[in-house]
Formats: sequence, structure tokens, C-alpha cells
Amino acid sequence: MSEPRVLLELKNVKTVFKVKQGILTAVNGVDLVIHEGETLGLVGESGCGKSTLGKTILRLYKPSQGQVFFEGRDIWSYSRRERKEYTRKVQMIFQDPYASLDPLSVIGDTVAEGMDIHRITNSRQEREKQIMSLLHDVGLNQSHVDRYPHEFSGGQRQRVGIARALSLSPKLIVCDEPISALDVSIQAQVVNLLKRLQKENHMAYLFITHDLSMVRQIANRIAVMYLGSIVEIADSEDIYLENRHPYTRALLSAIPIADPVVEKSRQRMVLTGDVPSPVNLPSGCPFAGRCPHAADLCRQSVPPLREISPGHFVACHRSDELPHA
Amino acid sequence: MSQTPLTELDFEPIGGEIGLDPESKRKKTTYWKDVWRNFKKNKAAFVSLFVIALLILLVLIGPGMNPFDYRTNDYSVINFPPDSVHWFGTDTMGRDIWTRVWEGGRVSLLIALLGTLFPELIGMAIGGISGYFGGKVDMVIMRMIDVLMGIPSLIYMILLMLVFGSGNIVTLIIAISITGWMGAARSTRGLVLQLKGRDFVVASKTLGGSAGWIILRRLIPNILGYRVVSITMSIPSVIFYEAFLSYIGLGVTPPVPSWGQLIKSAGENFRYYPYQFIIPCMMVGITMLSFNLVGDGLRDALDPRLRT
Repeated sequence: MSEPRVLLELKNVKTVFKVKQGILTAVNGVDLVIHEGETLGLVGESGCGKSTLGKTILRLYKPSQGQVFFEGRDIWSYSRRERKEYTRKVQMIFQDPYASLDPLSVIGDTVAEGMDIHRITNSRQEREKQIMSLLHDVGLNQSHVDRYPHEFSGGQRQRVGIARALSLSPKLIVCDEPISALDVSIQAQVVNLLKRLQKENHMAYLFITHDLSMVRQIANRIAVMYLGSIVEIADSEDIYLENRHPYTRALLSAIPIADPVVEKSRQRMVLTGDVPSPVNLPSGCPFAGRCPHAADLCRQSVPPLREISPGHFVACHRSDELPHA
Repeated sequence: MSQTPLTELDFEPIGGEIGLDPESKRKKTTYWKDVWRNFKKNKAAFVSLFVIALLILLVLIGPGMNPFDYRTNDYSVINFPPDSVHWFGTDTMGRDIWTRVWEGGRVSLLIALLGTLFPELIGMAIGGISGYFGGKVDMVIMRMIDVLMGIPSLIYMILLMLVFGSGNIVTLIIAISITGWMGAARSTRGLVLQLKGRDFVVASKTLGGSAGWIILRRLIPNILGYRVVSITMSIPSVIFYEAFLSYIGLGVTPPVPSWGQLIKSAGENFRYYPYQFIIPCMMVGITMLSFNLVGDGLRDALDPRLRT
């Protein structure tokens, strides 16, 4: 198999916000690659900078340091026309299906917004046809085209949001927790829909979530994020079976097991303490304060992301000394 | 007793078309057709719209319906109560009140409509820009508004009257527009700040929408519903503001009447000739009520979530 082509590359990206107490570092020097047609899962707990990273890729936030390359070009060096062109190639699916649709627009218009902005369709009939085929693709009833968002359920609204993102045939879709606001039974439907659409349209996904059991179903590779940094990144199965970072292990151990006997008897790795504030970050490894294996070295220097086996990167000083999973 | 299991043959259709999706029977409508359909359902609002239309009609043709004009004094008929010749009676100078009320309505309604619309448009544009772009632009605009609001509007009025000459309607509307947009700008800015962080606005941005697109297509329509009530509420206050300006000699100049002026001058004789006072008051009251009810109905009709 030939090496997949790189679609998006983040180089040492840092995104900060000014807040009253100082500087809030949401994304702290992230290196990341997304290949064409793959799904990269991005997991981490609330407030670790997942969404900010997604929005930085979408050009909604400007990184204070580092660069984002899309198809080899820095997205912040774009001309006005290239900027508009970029919005056709990179799209977003939002977390909250209730907030992401304009309450005053019928869903046909919502789905067609991108086409209207980029003047893709030449005639009314063509626009109508496009809307219908998009609604069909995401499994919505085509007669719903002139209904308002409040007439739909959460799952249906999320499908509208997906159709809107698809309308411009993007190469990358940033899915910002697209299923966390949905019912469990609907979650599976939406994940299957996303998988099917990916196969049909050959798109890449950056799938942001905190649901580790669901991300396994869709992601080819998974990146684990903690306090603005990527701590481990590997193929999906490796994250579950060959994980090396203590934080990844703690996260995985938080997934409940459906069998009550196993669930009761197993040893869970429970972290103590809280996530440090992203305002004025601690020195050293960001996880050192809560890590059961932290040594002096961990509190002094930031561990670099090292490749320990092909495609498997870990940012931990002690990953070699720790017992295997 | 034994039961036999039911088979398909035990069921029969009870009529109606089978296999036809009921959705396909839904008639296609446009946004504005939908608004109109829902507006009509609100009886009070619908009647009020009719009343406003009637007022406008009377203001246009009322003065021509009897032989009197609004400025000729006739001292033989001073302070006549309403009768078959002078339908609304006459005032202290023997002028026909019917004619004066509708003639004054022209001034009052024109000022009310334009004096509400222009400040609202200016305010929405400036407030929208301020809220949308935020940061330094917002800072500068808001401080400017603070300063402008700190200066009593009468000072502008007097200055504008000096420059443009007092007593004509155009000057009045310009003056009211220049002094009245700040409130609308502040409220619009607040609403824009609330809306622009919402996901559907962010979605517009990620789809490549320009600032103009987002403001026109996403923000303004979503704000309009909130603003429409306060727009209609401000109509009576503009009518009274004009009356006040007339009182201190900055409004329209006598003998041209306006509702405010009629009320003011009749107020002096209220105890002896109440009809001179009550009739123009009723006109203002009816106008005020009608616009409020229409605004209320319009807000409900504009928002698909409130439709039935």
C-alpha cells in the first residue's frame, strides 16, 4: 500500500487567549498530521483544548505560534480568494444540533447556504436538486425541505448539520463532538452515517470527542490530548491495546464495562487531583501533577513526542520503564 | 372460551388512500406567505392593521371631506360642539376640528413612521457593525454613543433648527433621527453580541460567508423579531416628542396642526370644551394601540417557533 498523502499538517501550533488572570494556553505546541481520507480521533477531557484545536484548523482562531499547512500551503498566508476557497475544502459539524441551525431558516436553505455563498448552482432547479440529493444522502425525508429546525429531533437536526457540511464536497470535516449531545441509539446511527459518507466521498475527518468507546468505531488513528498537548498518538487498536502513556491508561480505565461481574472486580486507575488551570501552565510534563509514576525529571522538563514504534508517538519520560498494557 | 388467532383477512381498510405519504400533501409555502397566514390568525393584530389603514386613508382624504380648511378662522362659530356641519366641532378660533385633526394626522403619522424608521435603521447598522466586529471598533462606537447620549437631545434640536430652519417636517425628522438612533444601536449591539457566538453564525463563517452575508442573512433576521415590538412601541413616544417640541416652539409652526399641538392647545380649555381635547387624544391612543398590537402579532408571526 502506498503511503497516504498528507492533507493537513500542524507544526508546533499554539493558540492562546487573553483572560483577566493572564494568558490562557488552550493549545500548547501541537504537531499533528491528517492524511487524505482518514479519520483521526482526538480525545481528551473537557477543557483540554480539543475544540480550540479544531477551530484553529478552521481558521476561526489564529494560532499565536506555529503553522497550519493544508495541502502544503500555510493557511494563514492565503489571499482573500484562497481563504474563500479554503472554506469549501474544510468544513465543520457542530456539537449542539439545537444551536447550530438558524431557527428562522427552513432546512433546505440551511443545507444550501454554502452553495449560495459560493454560487455553486446556476439555477433554481439545480439548487433544488442538490438539496434533495444531500437530504437523501444523510437519510432525511425529502419532503422535510421546507420545515423549520424546531420541528426536528436532535438526531435529525444533526443530519441537517452533516448535509450542510457535505454541501461543498469538502476534503476535511472537523467533527466537534458530533454525537455527544445525542441519545446513545442515535449516536450509532450518526457514526454509521459518517462512516458511509466518508467511504462515498473520500473525505478525512478530525473526530473530536470524549467518548472513547465510540471513537474506536470510526477512527483510524487516535490522538490523546491533555491540557493543550498531544500526549499519545497511534493507530486506534494500539491506543486500546498497546497504550504507553499513563493518561491514556487512566482515560481507558474510565470506560465502564458492560459485564457487571467484570466491572466490579477490575482494578480501575483513578486519578487524583484536578486538571491544572490552562492559565499559567505548570512547568515540566503537563500531566506530572496527577501522574502516579511522576519522577523529578517529569516536573522539570517537558517530554517530547517520541516515536516508540512505527506510527506510535508518546510524550512521556518514563514510558519505557512502565509495565506494558 | 378459546380464541382464534387473527389473520390478515380479518382486517379491512377503513377508507382513505393507502400507501400515500401524508407529507406529500403538504402545500409548499414561502416564508412571507407563512408569516401572513399566521399574522391573520391573530385577530387583534389583524383588526389593528385594518384600523391603521383606515387612519391613513382618513388622513389622506379627511380634510377634503367638508368645505372647511384648517387655517381659516371663523369667529361666528367659536367653540361649537360636534354637530352635522362641524363633525368634530370647532376650536377657540372657530376652525373646524375634523379638518384640523386629519390635517394634523398627516404631520403626526409621517413623523411617527419616518421618525421611528430612520433612527432604527441607523441604529441597527451602527449597532450591528459595533457588535459584529467587536474589539476596538466596538469600543470607539460605544464610547461615542455614551458621549452623544450624555448630551441632552434638546441641544441638538435647537442647533439643527438653527441650521436648517425650524418649523418644517423634514427638519424635524432629521433631528429626531440624529438624536434617536443611539438606543436602537445599543440594543442591536447587545443582541448581535449574543448571537454571533451561536453555532449557526459560526457555521455561516466556516461556509465562507462574508461579514455582510452574516449580518444580513443571519443576524438581522434573528434580531428583527426582538426589535419589532420596541419599534412599534416607540411610535407613540415619537408622536408625543413632536408635541413637546411644538410646545416649546421647535415643532411645526401654527397654524399647521399636529396631534400633539391640538392636544396641547385644547388642554387649556379641557374643563369647558372636553371634545376639543378628547378627540385628538383618542387618535393618538388608537394609533398607539394599533401599532402595539400589530407589532405584537408581527413578532409572533415572524418567529417560526411561535407559529401554530
